[in-house]
Amino acid sequence: MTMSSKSTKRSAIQLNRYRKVFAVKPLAVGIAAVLLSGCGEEPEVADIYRSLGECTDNNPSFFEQCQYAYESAVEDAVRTAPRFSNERDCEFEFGENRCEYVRNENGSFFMPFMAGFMLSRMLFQDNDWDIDFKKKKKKRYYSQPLFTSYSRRSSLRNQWFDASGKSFGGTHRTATKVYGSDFKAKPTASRTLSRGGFGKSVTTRSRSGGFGG
Amino acid sequence: MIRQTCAERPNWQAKALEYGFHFHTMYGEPYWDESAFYQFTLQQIEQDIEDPTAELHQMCLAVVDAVVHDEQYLRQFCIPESMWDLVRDSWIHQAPSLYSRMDLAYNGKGPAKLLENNADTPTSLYETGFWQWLWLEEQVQSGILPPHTDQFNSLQEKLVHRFANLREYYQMSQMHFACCKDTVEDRGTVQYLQDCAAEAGLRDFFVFIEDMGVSPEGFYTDKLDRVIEHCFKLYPWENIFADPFAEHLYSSQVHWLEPAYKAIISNKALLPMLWKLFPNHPNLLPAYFADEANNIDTGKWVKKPIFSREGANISIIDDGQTTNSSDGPYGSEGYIYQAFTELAKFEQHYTLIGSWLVDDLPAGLSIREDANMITQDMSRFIPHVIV
Repeated sequence: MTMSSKSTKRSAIQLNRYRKVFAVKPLAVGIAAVLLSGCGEEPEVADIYRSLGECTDNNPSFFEQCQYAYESAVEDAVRTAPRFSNERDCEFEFGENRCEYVRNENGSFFMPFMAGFMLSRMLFQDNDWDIDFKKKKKKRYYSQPLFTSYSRRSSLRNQWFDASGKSFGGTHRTATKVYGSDFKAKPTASRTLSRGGFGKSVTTRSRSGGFGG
Repeated sequence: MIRQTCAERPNWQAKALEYGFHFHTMYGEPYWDESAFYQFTLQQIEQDIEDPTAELHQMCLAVVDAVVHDEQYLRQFCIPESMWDLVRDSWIHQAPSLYSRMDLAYNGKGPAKLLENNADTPTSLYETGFWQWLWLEEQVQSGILPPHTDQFNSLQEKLVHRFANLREYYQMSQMHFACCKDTVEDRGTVQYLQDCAAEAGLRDFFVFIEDMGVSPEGFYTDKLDRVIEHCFKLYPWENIFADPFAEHLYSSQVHWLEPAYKAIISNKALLPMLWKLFPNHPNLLPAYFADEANNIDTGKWVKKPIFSREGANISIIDDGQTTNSSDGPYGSEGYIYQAFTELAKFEQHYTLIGSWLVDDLPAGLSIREDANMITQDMSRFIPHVIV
């Protein structure tokens, strides 16, 4: 059917090759805990999401991955979060009403609520395949739980940090460090002064909410 | 051009889920409908759709050239004065465009008539470029349709190719993609374009329009504070112009898709301008600005707001009487009048042709069906074939 006739009016879409970006395969890849050492290898972008909904809103085609990453982070949180024998000590570190009581096969303790989770973008940002598709590196998803502190007595207040206490910057961030080389053409904006200046004139939505014509 | 009923693929809903087509049913109503298809001859496609589409596009560019150099026209198109330079510069520098979709009235005979040109924020792209292609592929494989069945559809191929061109043109390695929150259809359209860009070797970053920021230097930033240099936006230019952040459009130096001059082509004022420049062209309907329309008291006319999207706020006027109208939020910016033309009607269905271009090349066809004469955003998408 494809490409055979010169007069065909149709695309020759290589389904099995091209569809990989759309098709969400069952997670054979698996989700691993992030091993972010401070040194070595190329830096990667990892997104930070406060909730499962935030992840699926940003990546509607990756609903299952988001769900899996979230669930895996929740599991890891219970396993790896700092533990306290009483609520007061936990709240001293993490803030009032920021701790939960857990009782499982490993005993009973207080731990901070998971504040978000990190998901590596490696699978979304894969550029190796178009150079030599067959030699494409295997990509994996990585996820891990993140915590933050609301306590004034904590040096990690309003910071994202993992179970070991390693900080990934302020909780305004929605990802860890980005590539420096992305910004060659222009100076990097050091920060964002204001947001939300677009979308204000949208009182004129059609029924489906979109703008398609 | 005939309408045929056809067996649906038994597993298509599961397929849709697998391929990320999340909006085939909206608000409980079917949107994708493969219980029927439209059949064209190759001659109908090539002579009546493809060639006129290419020609109409060139005529639209001629309108842009006339409008950007004339202040009176820029006012009639409701382009804010502070934005004239932006629009003009994008045209003078021939900023590349990506795609557009013309809506045509066509029933298989005679010239197709241009109803409007969705040149700024067209949707139904994924359904056209990929999903109806997959429908044909599978219906041929299962023997429901004969092996030689064709389709006017090189949309995805051309989009990927176009992104590769743009990558060379701007010497860029990455691109931002943006749409508004809370609309699964727009998000799906943008995701599809991201995937096409990735196929062309670009890194793609997504940002919601509402989450965009501005840096001290006057650059736009995404949610991770990355500078936005190249941006596809599924967000109309007239809204951008009306937003507070419009004041940074010059300092931001963003290369936009679509470029700012598309504000002229997607504008309903295009229609009277086309009629002015190319009177009595076979693919045009007579059209007039409201203040120049002296002859609308007799005959049948369609009244359209300058900025309308998805068939909103359109009314049909018959000998001075409004006979049919649709609700919506548009109209405060003014109206144009276009001569009424009957949409093709098959059984009880009104049929509207969407003719797609990538840059200036005709690239495919989509069909929407509605029970109403005014095709709106809830009309159904029906696949087509060439036999």
